[in-house]
Amino acid sequence: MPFTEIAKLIASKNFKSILDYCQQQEIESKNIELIKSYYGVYLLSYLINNDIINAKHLWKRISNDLKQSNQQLKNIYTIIKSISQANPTITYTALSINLGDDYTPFITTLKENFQQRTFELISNAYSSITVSDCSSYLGISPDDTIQFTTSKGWEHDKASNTLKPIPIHKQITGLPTGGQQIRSLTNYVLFLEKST
Amino acid sequence: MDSFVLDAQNPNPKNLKNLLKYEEQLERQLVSLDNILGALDVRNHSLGQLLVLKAKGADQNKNRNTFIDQCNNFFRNCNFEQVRIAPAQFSSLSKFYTEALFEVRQPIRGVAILKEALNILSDNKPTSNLTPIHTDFLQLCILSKCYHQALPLIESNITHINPEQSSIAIKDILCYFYYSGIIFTALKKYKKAIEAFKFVITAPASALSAIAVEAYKKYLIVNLIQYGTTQHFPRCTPAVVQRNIKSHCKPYTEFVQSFSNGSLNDIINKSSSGAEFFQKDNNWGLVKLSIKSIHRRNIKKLTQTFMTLSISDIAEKVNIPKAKAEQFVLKMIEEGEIFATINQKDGMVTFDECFEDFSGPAILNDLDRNINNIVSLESKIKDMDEKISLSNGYLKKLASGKGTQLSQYEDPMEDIN
Amino acid sequence: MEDMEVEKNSEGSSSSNNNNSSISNEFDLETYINNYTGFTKIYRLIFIAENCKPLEVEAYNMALKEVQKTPNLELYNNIINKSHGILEFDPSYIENLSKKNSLQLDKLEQDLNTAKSNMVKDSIRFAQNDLGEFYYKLGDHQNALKCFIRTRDYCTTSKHVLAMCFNIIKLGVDNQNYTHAPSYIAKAEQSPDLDSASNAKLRSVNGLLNLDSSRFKLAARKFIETPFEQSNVFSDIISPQDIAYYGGLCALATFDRNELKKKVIDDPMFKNYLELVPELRELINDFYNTKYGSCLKYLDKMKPILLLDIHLYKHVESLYQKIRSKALIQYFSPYQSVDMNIMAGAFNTTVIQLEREISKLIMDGDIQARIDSHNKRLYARKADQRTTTFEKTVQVGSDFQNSSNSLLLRLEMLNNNISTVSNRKDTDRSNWEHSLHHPHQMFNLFNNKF
Repeated sequence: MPFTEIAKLIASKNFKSILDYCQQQEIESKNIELIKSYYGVYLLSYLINNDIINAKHLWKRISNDLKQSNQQLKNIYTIIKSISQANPTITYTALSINLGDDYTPFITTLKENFQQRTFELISNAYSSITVSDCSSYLGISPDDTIQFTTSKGWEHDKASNTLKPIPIHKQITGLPTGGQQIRSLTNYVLFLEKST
Repeated sequence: MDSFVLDAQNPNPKNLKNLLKYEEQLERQLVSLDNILGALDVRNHSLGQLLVLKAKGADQNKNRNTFIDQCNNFFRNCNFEQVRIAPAQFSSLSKFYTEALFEVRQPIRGVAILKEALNILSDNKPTSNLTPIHTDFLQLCILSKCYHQALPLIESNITHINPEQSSIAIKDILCYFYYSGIIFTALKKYKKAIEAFKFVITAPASALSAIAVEAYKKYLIVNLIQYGTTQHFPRCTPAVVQRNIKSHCKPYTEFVQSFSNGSLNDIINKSSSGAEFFQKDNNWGLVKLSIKSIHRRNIKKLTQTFMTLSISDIAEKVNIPKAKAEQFVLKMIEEGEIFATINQKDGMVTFDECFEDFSGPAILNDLDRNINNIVSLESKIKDMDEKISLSNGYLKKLASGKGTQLSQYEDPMEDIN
Repeated sequence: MEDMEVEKNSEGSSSSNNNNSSISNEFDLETYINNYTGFTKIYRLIFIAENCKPLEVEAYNMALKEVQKTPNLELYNNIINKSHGILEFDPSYIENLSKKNSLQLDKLEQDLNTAKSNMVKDSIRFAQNDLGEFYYKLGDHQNALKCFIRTRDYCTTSKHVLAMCFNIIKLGVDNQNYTHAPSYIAKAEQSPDLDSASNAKLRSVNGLLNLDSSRFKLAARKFIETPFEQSNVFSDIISPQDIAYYGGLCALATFDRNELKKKVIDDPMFKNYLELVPELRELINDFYNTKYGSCLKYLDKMKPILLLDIHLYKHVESLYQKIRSKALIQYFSPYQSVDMNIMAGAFNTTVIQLEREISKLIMDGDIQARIDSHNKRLYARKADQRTTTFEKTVQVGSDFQNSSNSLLLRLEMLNNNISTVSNRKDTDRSNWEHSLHHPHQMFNLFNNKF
């Protein structure tokens, strides 16, 4: 079983830490073979964190020999490319290819993430969308699309076969506590007092 | 050479400085350098090792892989105190090391090493004191395409240099900001890139440097990508730069010009007529990106002009195929560049002008961060002020009693102009 | 940006072609051309002949008649060549005239030499001037200019200087080449002997100069300031009708409402000019009274005639564009929202065309509004003070941080005497290119691989 070093992190789905681990190994480890074996999960972790730019740069760092010989990397590259070109149909096809058990947790999470991100995007970006477009964005069949979206409260207009999305408001996170706020306000006042 | 080894092994720190006198001698003893190195202990005789390695670095015929391994060992284990005695030699070694890594095409092997080494000449404050090692580190990050490794460093605002402590010179500083600009550009942080390139062209100068010219080229194009236009020279650009730099970048200034008054076709024509230059400078990709950005900006302008507009009108007005228009708009919504909703039933897009309502915790945190930055900036300015008012030059002026001439020191901008 | 630009109003140019045939009905060439004397008359006739087919024959014939009143053979040949068969050469005329001209030239040069040997300033000036005048009539403007400039050294009174200035200015206007004119206009304006006729002449020439370089507002002011009583004494340059057209249109395109009312409509002097061209007076009044439809109709009707004017034709499009934009801006200014169908009606245009025009105006920042293209309505833009303030504040904050940080570092560099200096022996350049050779290559990554 490869990836033993990060088995725990995989189990807990802590992809941010996996990314940190990969970044660290890449520049510190002397074991070239180990680094090579990690490129796949490294790339997928970037994608899970929705960081296409760095995923592309990482792809460029991988040697051509490896890119050509490794089928799994080739598949992952198809995913990167289709995401950056906004071609969800290809993305979902590429995500449905089995890259082996070791990659399954990554692919599953990426698919969930990607689906969720796309769903949020079309919820906010469309005031009406055809069932067929929506189904290709979500990577599910038209019937499933209708069922899924109506369960989220969307309206289905049978005459035009379009759906009417409901915008999702970004959840408010990171609200500073009262104590923090008081502290920073105090600091401002102190600063202003000092300079006058 | 025995005397060198003996001196190097001398534990008395006061005598260590004497070692520097062997520098030239070492460079004439290339064959025996490895033996001498072996006789010294990396932790206890760091200065000795530094001088030996530096002499070896200058040798064009050295075995590069061995040299890199020796350096790795040295950087990881050396005694900082000893190394700080010879900052110039240490900086040279770092340059030789960087060069060797490039020559064996394995720049990534040095990234972690130099990242650690940033501490040595910066008094363990790598994010506030600039040293020549910073520049080498960025160069390795670029060569190995590990841009993300450099990001935390270049995002910190470095405002201090100490040439006596780090032997930093003008080229190191200019290159550091030039490389920062390149890294920011690669990570698509264009505003930051512009600031970095801007520093290169505004740095004090009484002559034009090639680094400034290269930075200016990228400055022009990245400005086009970000803003679709270019800014005038910043107020503090040295006169010599303002006067001469444009003549070195003719295809660039012409290309920029076409943006302000040309049609899309004009712009594309200008880009292909300058293509040879752009390719030679490795700016061709950036030029293409700047052309791509025109569509994005045009769509953004549409949001300020229209409340609703059909997809086909958008396609026509921005000159993109109709099939692509919707995708384009969607992509821009995703990236938060515009706020709009697409109605596929009517084929219309509704634009909302101000999507940023400037409320909520994210903004609050952002403001808080900015205020704190400015507060800490203020203390830096105070320090600088104090330093200047206590400096010899200032006191001399003060003593000579010519009050009017003081303005030169009171207004730092004047010094620069 | 250009891709979004409103296409040039194609209706305009096509209508001018259509109207070309009917132009002979509305435009009386004879009345028009009799406002002028001298070479401008001939130049205008040639211009009309070249640009208006129906008037071609008439205009060439008139031009020929006029040119035969002058000794100018070059222009004579020119006209006949241009007329492609309408006119024919008269060999005996050419022969006689060229003989006569060379005799005259010899005589004038002799006069000049005699005057010079007598060393009487005034007679040298006279002779020099006569020679210049003759060169001017021959159409040899270069030699004419030389002669006129030479008289400068022999001017004894300010009247002489004034005469010299006007000679040089006239050359410029005839050639529509205004490189020398500004300095001589300025010189003439300072002359103590400036009578009101000369003053009027200077103003109108100054107007032409500004019109030529598309400074319409200045041009309008100069034309409007031209005293009416004296306006017909320089028919070798411009007619009072021209002043009305040039001044009125430039004012319409550039003045705000108050200025238009005060300086054009209510101005007692300029009123006289407007009386000469009643349609122009009407359309300016219509514009002021927000009857834009009628105003634009007048303008459309007038256009073919304006396009035959030797000074105005190249500015007609841009002046019309400006007038139209101003009308659109003023029309919308009092509203919160406007139905674009109604607005299009008021401007004799289609909604689609109107939407294009308005979107251009919005993008240029001339109208503060947004278009609801779906419902074809235009809404005034409410400035959101809070958002704008916020954006500005954040911007100022980050600008301050950036500039302070780099300022601190620059200061630190100066304190340590670190700066780029020229160093011949070990140039920055060679060093630098060496060490920087490689990182450049990274930018291949932008070459659209994705």
